[in-house]
Amino acid sequence: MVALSISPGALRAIHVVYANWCPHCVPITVEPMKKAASSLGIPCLLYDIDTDKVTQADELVKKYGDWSEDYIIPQVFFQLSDGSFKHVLTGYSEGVAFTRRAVDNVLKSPLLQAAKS
Amino acid sequence: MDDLTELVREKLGGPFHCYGHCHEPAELKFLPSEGKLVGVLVCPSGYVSRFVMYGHELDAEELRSFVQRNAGSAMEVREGDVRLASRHALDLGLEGADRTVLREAYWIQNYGRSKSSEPDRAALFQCSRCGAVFVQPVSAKTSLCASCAR
Repeated sequence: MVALSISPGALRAIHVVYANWCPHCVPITVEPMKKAASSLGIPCLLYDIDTDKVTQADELVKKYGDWSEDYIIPQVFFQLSDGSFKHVLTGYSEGVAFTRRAVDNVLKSPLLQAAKS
Repeated sequence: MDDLTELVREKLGGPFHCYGHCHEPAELKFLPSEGKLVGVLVCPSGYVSRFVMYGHELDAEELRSFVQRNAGSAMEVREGDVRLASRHALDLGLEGADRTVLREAYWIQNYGRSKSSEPDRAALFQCSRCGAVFVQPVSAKTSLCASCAR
């Protein structure tokens, strides 16, 4: 288990694997992540699994995320300035409210706040 | 109660709603299992909408075989229908440096490739008296297993 700390400027991009039909994804994950990336001045890269982006989405999830044949969306990754990826969130099958709370937790975490300062 | 059970109760313990059966609230109930913590989300009728396995290291086959043992020959539980998720301190809202706190494996009843709209399909329920998981038609009106119903 690798501990994560993000120093200012160390976050290069946020990557989100999602689908438009998924209530855990749109708007409750995609929109806040786009907003967070914008406030950090970094790109938010979106991978809609119903488009040809699915190949890249599968690769991200296989390499860094929670892979299974019918993997859960959304999955969110932070790309750090050294090029490494950190998986930060997978949708909660317990319910949309759980995913919403997890997104809030990520956004208000001291780690992300530190990256903003 | 061990640390993992306590964490699951605190962070992943509800509230829930039944999925694929009714719109009633569902409750997380832990099942006896060997080694791994396993919970089911159960509505007041006893319908099990989800099996969830919790642990630091999990693979899909562990949960698949657990659900299959409960289902017996009444249904085929496919590994492809089990999905995995990592939970980190970051998204759980825990203090301190981020780390992976636990993993979850989910099996959702009547979801994905196993989905059926057959009104009398075999379904998994939890007995409201003894807590055993048993199979009966999804349209059945009892929440008691065969032993408790005698």
